[in-house]
Amino acid sequence: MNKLRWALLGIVGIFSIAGGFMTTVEEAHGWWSAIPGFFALFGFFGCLLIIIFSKFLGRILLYKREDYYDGN
Amino acid sequence: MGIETSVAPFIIMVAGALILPVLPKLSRSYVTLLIPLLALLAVWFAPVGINLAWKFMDYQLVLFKVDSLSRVFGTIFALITFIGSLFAFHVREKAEQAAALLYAAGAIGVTFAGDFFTLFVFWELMTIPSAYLVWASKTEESGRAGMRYLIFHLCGGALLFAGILMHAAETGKIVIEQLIYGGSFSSWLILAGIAVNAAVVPLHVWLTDAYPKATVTGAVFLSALTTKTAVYVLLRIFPGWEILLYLGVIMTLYGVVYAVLANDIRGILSYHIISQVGYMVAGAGIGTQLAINGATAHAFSHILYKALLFMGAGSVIYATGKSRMTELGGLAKAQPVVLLLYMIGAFSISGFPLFNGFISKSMVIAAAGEAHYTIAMFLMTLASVGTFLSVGLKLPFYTWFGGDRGLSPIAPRVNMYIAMTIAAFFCILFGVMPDLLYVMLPFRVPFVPYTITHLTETSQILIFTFAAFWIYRKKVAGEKGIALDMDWFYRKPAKLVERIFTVNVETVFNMAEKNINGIVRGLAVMGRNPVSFFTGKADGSDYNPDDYRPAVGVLIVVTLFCYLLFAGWGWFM
Repeated sequence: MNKLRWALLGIVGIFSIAGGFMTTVEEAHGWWSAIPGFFALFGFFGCLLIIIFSKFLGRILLYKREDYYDGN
Repeated sequence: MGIETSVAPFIIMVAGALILPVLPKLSRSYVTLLIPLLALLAVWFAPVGINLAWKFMDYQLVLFKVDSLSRVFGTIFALITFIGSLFAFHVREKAEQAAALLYAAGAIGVTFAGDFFTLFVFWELMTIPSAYLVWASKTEESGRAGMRYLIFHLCGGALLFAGILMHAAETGKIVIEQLIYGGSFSSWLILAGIAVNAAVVPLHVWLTDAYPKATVTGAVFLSALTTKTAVYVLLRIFPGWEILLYLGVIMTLYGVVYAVLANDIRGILSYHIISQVGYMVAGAGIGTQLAINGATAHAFSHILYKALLFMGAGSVIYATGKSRMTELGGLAKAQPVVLLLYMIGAFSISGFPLFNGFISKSMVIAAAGEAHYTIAMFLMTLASVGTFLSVGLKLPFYTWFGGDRGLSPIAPRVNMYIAMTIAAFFCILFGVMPDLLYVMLPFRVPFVPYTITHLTETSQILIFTFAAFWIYRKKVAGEKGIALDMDWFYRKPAKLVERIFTVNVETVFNMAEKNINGIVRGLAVMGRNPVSFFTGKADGSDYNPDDYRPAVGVLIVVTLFCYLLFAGWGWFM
């Protein structure tokens, strides 16, 4: 990821957040429509949540050696 | 409507599968392309209504019944069989080719079945050919996984059949119709049987166990047919069963969590079948017209992009012989076209605007919102974040980018490229022109995917999911090992079960055998010379009557003499 790509992504990101202000009243589905950039936060923290939760579950319980079922 | 316009597509498929093995080697691949195209024509030109029925005992078996719902599913099943056959064009093994066609025949047969018996027959027809596509890898692993797959599906089929028999006994009818929510026990049995094939958590493990071990080409058929056939049946029989909404939402997230942990690239894709089918199951659970339309459209889209993803991953495995992210990396230079085509599938499954996932997934989520299932709506949106993370970012990053592992991949075949290109074409076509798909859906419900709100929401989610991934990309790198799943519950106790039902039983039998043999031997020894038992002289010599003749003779003479004596005594006295 070079600087140009980051810049492009940033521009698209800003547009997408700005576009959120164009939501018309009848399209607003609930309280979240009133929060600017709600889905940006949702995407970012949702992604983090999924990574952390899954890996945590893997660490404490689920990860086993590949020959787990062949052993004993 | 002449005869030729209403030939049942399953007849074409079964006939094709049966004549295939006797055809000359070089023509077989062409036939595997021709048959699904003929079936597709049969699906399109068949008129709505019952086209083929058969009176069997007291029941009316409806073998070929068409309506708008079955036509959409029949269309996509035939289309994907064509694409899958093209991807497998270079395969020369007739058993594998015939298995794929028979499997598709089963799926299409289920789709157009009008009664439960017909449905069950085709349901079971899918089982063995699909297991064969796993076995055809011919590794020890695939052999065992295929057997587990088969047992799982036979159990599911038994549940379904038990439910059908009970239903027929209760109602006296076998015609397929909507069942009332929470009604009879038989409905729940049927639901359980269908749920096995729909990979509803916790009955899903057969999928993630077997699909990654199937052949490169077989996995394409597997990814398309079994689960989506079950989705079709759920939509037909169980719309509005609220429990399906909860199960579906659980599936969307369950698949996402496990995909983060998975290391095998087709393992990731398999867990995302569960996740994606979750949207469809949830759609069936919501049961509104928009939800049914959404689930149908999503099944249609999903089959296309999931097959494309499996073909992309399959091309990597074909080219390198490796399937684990920990062994892959840096293939972008060698496989730019595969990467591009895979990414079209990845953008589709992630719901990028202009790709077909966008126009169908949003329909299910909108249906949840419209029916005021707000939490379900947000959880399904969260799952779509996870989809982009694993399928759209992690898998391609660690396969085609990441560290170069010095792999020397061979080039995938031309037919593989063509098949992927066709699937990618349809992914984009329906993404750009959603109305082509919407007109096929069972209900006339207006739905506009391309609104500014929807576009901004989606792009916000995708862009910031990407940002989070990029920052924490090291954290999601593949790790050696496996992640335990529900199969632990039967694979781990397998040793114990083996102990109880095989080892212990054998021990008891061995003991009994030993003791009985001992008794028999003792009796035999005793039988040779019973006298020795009393005399205590166990010299092993056989019984010889001459040894005892004089002694016994004397005894008899003395006895007779005494008798005479006493008789004479009585006479004279």
